[in-house]
Amino acid sequence: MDYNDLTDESLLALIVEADRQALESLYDRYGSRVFSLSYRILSDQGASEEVTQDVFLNVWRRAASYQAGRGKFTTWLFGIAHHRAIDELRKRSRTRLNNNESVDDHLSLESGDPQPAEAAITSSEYGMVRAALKELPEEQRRVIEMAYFGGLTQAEIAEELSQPLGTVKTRMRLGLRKLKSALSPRFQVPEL
Amino acid sequence: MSASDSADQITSDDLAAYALNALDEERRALVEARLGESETLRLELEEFEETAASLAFAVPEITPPDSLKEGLLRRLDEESRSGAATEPVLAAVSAASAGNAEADASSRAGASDSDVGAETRGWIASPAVAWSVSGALTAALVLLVATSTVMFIRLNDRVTDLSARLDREAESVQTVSQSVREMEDEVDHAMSSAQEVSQVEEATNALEQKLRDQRWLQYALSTGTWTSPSWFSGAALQEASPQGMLVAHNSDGRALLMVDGLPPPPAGKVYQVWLFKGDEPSPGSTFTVDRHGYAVVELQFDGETETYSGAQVTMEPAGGSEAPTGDPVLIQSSP
Repeated sequence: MDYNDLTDESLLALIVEADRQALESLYDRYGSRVFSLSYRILSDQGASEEVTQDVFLNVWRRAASYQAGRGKFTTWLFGIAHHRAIDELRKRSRTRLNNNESVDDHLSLESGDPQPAEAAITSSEYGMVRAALKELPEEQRRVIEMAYFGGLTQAEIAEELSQPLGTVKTRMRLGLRKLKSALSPRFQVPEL
Repeated sequence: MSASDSADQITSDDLAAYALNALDEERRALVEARLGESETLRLELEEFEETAASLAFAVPEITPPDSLKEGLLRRLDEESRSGAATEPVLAAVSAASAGNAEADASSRAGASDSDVGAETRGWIASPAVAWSVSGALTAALVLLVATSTVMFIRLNDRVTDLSARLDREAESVQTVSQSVREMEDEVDHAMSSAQEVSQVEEATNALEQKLRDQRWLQYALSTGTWTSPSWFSGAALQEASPQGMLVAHNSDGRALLMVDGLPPPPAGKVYQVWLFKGDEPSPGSTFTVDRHGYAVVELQFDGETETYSGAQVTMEPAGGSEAPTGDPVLIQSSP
């Protein structure tokens, strides 16, 4: 059986049966993406490595709880990764939090050693999501980034920006809706 | 609808914030409680969550070291081993518990039967037998008095011994107190040493982090044609000696600036890079540094890199400025 030909859901079904190679295959597909997200949130390589390992161990333990009818595998996986990284961030001192950055301010390194096909997909997804983000009004993009990458709650964002809480809530909702519209025609998270 | 009802109402705003992990714990718990009750809420949340998950792709992809996967597989092995070891142990404990329970139950049943039998036999004893019992009780009383006397003498001796021991131990307590004071001094000394070790460890961690970033930077440099590094140094009158290094890509206008030794900016402030054409500065990226004063910043040149004559870093209000408002903290010292 060639694991590379299997869908994410098929690999998960094998993981439920304690198939270790299936987990390795999922890691090969998404490990660097999970690590990159963790590193963007935590800015700490050691902590990002630990978070990445925790995420895939969680996949190993909780594979049976994934319900294909309730969203894509990648939504589930990145949901776990984001929760874990934000939890870690909130445990740490907020002094390291870089609230004033935007995605554009951050170090942009190319993938270390991707296969050519992977590199093309990666570059394409990265470019499309960033392009979609840039379509958002600045104030909506900012609250989304402060929440998703900075780990701030709505109330904390309102305080940071000196804006009413209701304004922040509205910007967050409108921003996500607009982002969805901007992504819909050109971006689908790949289901292998 | 009362104010309380309104506060308990889950809105689209709540769901969007939930998908971004931006709710406080109380509100989050309320959303989770309501999700189980409403299919409509759940479907709306799924849409927000899917959009939020796409943000994971807005980050440049970095390949983690091979050791990360090796570590994951190692943890998987450990978990599998501990899981395999736990089940038989649990089974054995469970079986043992079941066995003990049976044994306890049968033992209790046996004791009960025996006690009931004894009581039954006592209640049917005849008067003749009762006299014999009375004589035996008298003998037992005499024996009890004799035994008590002996015990009293022994107890008295014991109290005397204990008093002597207490006197001796009072002296020991003084000696021990002295030792404790000496140990406290030693602990203070050890704590002081531990703090020093902790500081050394912190510095070592910072150096390791820099080394890792340097390796990534080296990798970045190896992926294309980059200019020779330009070096930055701190402006005068700064306590620390901040430094910087800038390399620019020869073809696509990208540049990387690595800084070290800058103090973390105060709240509401950021550092900002300025790229100069002649005497005219143009605003570059804003950034902050980690607690060790270290950061790597991506810059984008507008047009040919050769047209730029220099660069500086200043401290600016959060969000950056259109023109420098602060004094330079880093100045490009070589072209």
